[in-house]
Amino acid sequence: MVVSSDPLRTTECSGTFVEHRLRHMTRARTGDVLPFDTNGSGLAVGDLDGDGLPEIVLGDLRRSASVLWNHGRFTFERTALTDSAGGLDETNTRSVVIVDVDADGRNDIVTTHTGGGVSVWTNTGDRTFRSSSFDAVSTPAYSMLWDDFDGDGDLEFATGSYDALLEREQGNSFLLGSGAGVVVYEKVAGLYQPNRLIRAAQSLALVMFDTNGDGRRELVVGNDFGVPDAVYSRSQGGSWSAVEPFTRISRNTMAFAVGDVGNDGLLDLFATDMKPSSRDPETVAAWMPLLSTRFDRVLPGDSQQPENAFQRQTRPGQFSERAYATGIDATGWSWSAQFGDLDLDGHEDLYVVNGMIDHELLGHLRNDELAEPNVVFAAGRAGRFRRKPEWGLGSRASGRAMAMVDLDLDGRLDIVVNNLESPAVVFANKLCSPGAALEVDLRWPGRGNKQALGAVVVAKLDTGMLQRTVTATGGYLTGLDARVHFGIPAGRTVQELLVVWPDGHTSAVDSRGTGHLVTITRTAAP
Amino acid sequence: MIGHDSTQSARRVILLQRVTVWPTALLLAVGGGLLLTGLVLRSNAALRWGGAVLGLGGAWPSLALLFTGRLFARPKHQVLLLVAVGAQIVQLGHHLVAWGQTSRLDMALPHVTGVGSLFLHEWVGLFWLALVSAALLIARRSGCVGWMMTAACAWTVLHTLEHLYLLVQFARLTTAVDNFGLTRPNALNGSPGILGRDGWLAIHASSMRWWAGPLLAAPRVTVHLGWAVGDVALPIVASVRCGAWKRAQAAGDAPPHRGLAAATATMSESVSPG
Repeated sequence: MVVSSDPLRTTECSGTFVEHRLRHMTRARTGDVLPFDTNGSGLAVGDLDGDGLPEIVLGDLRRSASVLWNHGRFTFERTALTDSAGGLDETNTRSVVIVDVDADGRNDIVTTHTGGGVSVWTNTGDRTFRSSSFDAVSTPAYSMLWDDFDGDGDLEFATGSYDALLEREQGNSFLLGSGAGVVVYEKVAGLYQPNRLIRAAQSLALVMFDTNGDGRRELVVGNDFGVPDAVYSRSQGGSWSAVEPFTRISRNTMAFAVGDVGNDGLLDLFATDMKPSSRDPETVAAWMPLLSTRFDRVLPGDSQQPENAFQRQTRPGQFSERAYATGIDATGWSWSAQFGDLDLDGHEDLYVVNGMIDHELLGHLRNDELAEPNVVFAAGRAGRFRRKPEWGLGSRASGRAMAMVDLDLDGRLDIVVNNLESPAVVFANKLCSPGAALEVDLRWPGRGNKQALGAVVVAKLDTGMLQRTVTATGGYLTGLDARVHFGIPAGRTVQELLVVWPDGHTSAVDSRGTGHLVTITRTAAP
Repeated sequence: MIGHDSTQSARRVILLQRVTVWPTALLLAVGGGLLLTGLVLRSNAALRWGGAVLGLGGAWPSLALLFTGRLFARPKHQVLLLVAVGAQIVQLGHHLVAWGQTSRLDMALPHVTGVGSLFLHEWVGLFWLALVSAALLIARRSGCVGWMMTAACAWTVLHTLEHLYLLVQFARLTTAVDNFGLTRPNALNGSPGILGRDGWLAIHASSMRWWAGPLLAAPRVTVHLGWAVGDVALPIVASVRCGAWKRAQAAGDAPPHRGLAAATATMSESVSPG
């Protein structure tokens, strides 16, 4: 194991986030935003040029996707995501992920599309890409997840279809076809083998998450339109079976966020849904078409309710749904959400982006748009989250995909949002905090899963511990930076870093102090 | 002459008992039975009939005494208590039905009617409670005093204030909905009140304590069923505390069972001699 450490930069603070508009705006394919263009496009963050600074890839529906090359200090150079060999541009994009598909040491871009196809944009190393369709994928895909399901070091993935979109786009040809659904692709003898778990889905979100406390993670599928979320457990032998760990779930799951809110070593799961963030009559009136045509048929005792769900893991494998009790049940027409320690106090905060534009459903509103402020919550001491409007994250643009990432390597998590019909934005984190940060980048050379996706990193403090999972996907149609970020409260020290690699091996690293980016490279003998 | 008056009075009491207490007890029992039947068999018809008959049972003494010309022969506070409790039993019947429809029959809110859709109008709830509050407050000024009567008045006034808040919110909602040119929702689909799930208190609570759970998390129909139970129970107990039951018992008008005693205490008050 090789460990290197680079100091994080020091930047000024102002006590709030500062919004930077990006040279990209996701537009619907038609003038009036119709279903399901209103679902918008994804984004991904990750280092594409090897300089250590994460790039931003933003999908679009009408025009080509953008690659924003990070030159530091929140300056970006835009190039269209286009095929260097003269092929087509990337467009009609839904999910975006940055992973090293071909294990050549350079991160590539993978996208899904409105029509359900999957594209791989292979990084040539000179800031250009070559596109290819993913031959292994024949089932329509909307959401996407990349991981190492069995911990064997291979990079694998899963896709979920959004059948409502396919029905609208393809009509009878979809209905009479072979269907879609949720498919996992595991590598067997170097080739991806599809394994369809279910034939029909309304999957907007996929996440890997240990739901039964056995140390192995299950695949959690978030479904829209009242189709229950599904959880699939993988046996040692590689077969998948459905399990039901949650007693109460969100009805129209749009995104998942995973975090250890209690810092108790038990991961919690947050799911976004649609519920007015304010109950004042004017806000409720704006929502009335949805409330009176879809949600008013929801039975009070239904296990699926149209509001966010927060599965708090109270004991390994035991969950208590606590969204309403902790004050995070209503965040508007919510899309992406993510946990992250924004204020470096040792507790993971929660950011949710929202908004809706729909000519058919919201024609009574100006510009057919339901505009509500995005919501950020700081984890409170009494287990209840507190809204933090003073952080300056209450954008009223119609947010869809969102990622937290340290774009300037100053130890503070910035936020990237791909809005619909508004420019994409970066919220530069300028919060002033007495705490410090520690970032960890895992490398697993010689394996397909070079970023060690699925590994768990534990920071042992003098009092307690913090835990993060290495992941490349999350939220809604969002590709995440595989580096993990810890906020270390003032006065606390990190005594040890513990890494549980995807194959179960563990590595312990002595503390390098806070304020560093620690790169841990696993060698043949861990 | 005294003995003759006394005999006449006793006959009058028996007659009035026949037209008030016993029919009331019968109506309450039948209404309660139908409600239970509706809950057990998941029958909406039984529920609604049960609520209606229960409400009729509550209103019966006032109506019977009104038609027999005996209502206003009583002291003012007795009359007001009788009418107030009767009105609140009607309301309780409605809320029991609404609660049963959501909790037991799994009906979605747009289909919930309670006893009748008239009661779903916010202004009806407010008007109803405002009158009952006024009756209780006047009854308290007119002689039925005591801490329990104070509690009954306070409970009903607070319930009235919650309905005032609901009416204001609903008026704002319908104005906004009208401005959008959309179809108006019914009251149950409108804005939440002060108490209960998504209510003003829940939004403004800094933390959710275990004891406050029902106040902050209960659905609207449950919250208002709770209000309605207090609306009926507190004035009855108050009337007992201020002597109605004791006088009725002394006059031999007490119903045979303690369970019925509480429900008909104020009615006995009205038929007691003197």
